[in-house]
Amino acid sequence: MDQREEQEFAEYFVARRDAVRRTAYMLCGDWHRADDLAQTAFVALHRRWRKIRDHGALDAYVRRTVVRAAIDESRRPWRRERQTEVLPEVTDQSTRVDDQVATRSALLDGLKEVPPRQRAVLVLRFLEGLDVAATAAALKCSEGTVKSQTARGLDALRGVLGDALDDLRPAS
Amino acid sequence: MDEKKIAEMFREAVPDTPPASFTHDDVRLVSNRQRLRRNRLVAGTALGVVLVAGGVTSGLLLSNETPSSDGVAAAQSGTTGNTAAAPYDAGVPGQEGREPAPRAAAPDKSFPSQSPEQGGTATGEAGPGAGSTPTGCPKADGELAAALASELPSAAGKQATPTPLRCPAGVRGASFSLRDGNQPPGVVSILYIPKGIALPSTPPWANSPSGTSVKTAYGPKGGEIVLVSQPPEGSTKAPFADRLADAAKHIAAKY
Repeated sequence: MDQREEQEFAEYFVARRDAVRRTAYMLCGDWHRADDLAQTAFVALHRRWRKIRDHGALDAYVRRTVVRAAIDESRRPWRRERQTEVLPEVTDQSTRVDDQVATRSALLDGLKEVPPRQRAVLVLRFLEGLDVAATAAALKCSEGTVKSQTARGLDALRGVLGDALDDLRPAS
Repeated sequence: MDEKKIAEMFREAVPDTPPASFTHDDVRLVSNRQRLRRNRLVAGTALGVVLVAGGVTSGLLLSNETPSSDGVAAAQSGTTGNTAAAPYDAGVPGQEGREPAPRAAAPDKSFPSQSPEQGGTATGEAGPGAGSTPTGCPKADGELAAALASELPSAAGKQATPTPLRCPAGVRGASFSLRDGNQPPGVVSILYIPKGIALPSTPPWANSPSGTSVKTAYGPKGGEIVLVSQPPEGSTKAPFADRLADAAKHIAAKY
């Protein structure tokens, strides 16, 4: 990569680093792992920077890399989520500072209980704001799969949270 | 649930982002390292293919020369050839009978085992090589120590020590025990990685304590300067972490 390309990459990196980290965080729920996932995506992008002719597709490439890395990592034995019969202790809502913080915490806790692929679909659809077709392209699956995974993911989220989200949502 | 409301909740759910634990330099470093490893793997594979192809070619040439010399060679080849290769004879459309088949069969048989060897060797070498890389910084490098002292005045007049980092052969380094303000002294190390030397997959600072700051910079001649600041025991504040990036850039300008 020559100096000009390196400079272009550096500008893109600075502009997009935190957004990619946020997506990674929603996918894994941990900032340290999120940074690992984001760095993996940027390294992959750095290695292919010269080959990517359509720089309008950079976001899609990074997004796809992060999602795949998150799903791959969740399949590794030491990362595999364990089933438990006992639900985690519910935090005492009365000690919350405000409803917004409670909503945030409930959603993040709930997302951790959603299977990785469904979680990826939910994050791409609702955090990244992708439509069904773009989500299907990012995950390399059919639009029907995205729709079904979205429905199942939301069901799983409701199953974990019950009506907590609706109750805790700040009145707008 | 309304999709817009869900999207809103998702956006609100992401808390304020903490400072990132990686920089553009880190990305570039890892990317370059992966590229070097891949190039080595490709070169190793290509060499293996050339060797196998050379073996096959020379085998074929030899087998072609032998039967043309005289008819007795057929008997010799028959004795030197592996009898286990006899089934391959049936598939060889030559009228020499056994000669070409055993000779040609030998490289053929070795080909499948050669190919995995290549893959195994290349990936295998990278692993153990990384772990068992000899330490290349047994003593403090005066030039690097002086360069670091010129950037961090606290190091001026202090005795440089060999770096505690495990650096590969060909890499030079030095360390100072430095106190940043009222903090207990931490260790600030400098490494110089000449052009063409690749760091192992586990970098020298891999086992550093939490809070360690690493900054790298490339010089105009292709050399790389790495500054590593390790916090004192019981602290996560690495001394002069905020000045490492600039210092690395200034020092790298000479390399």
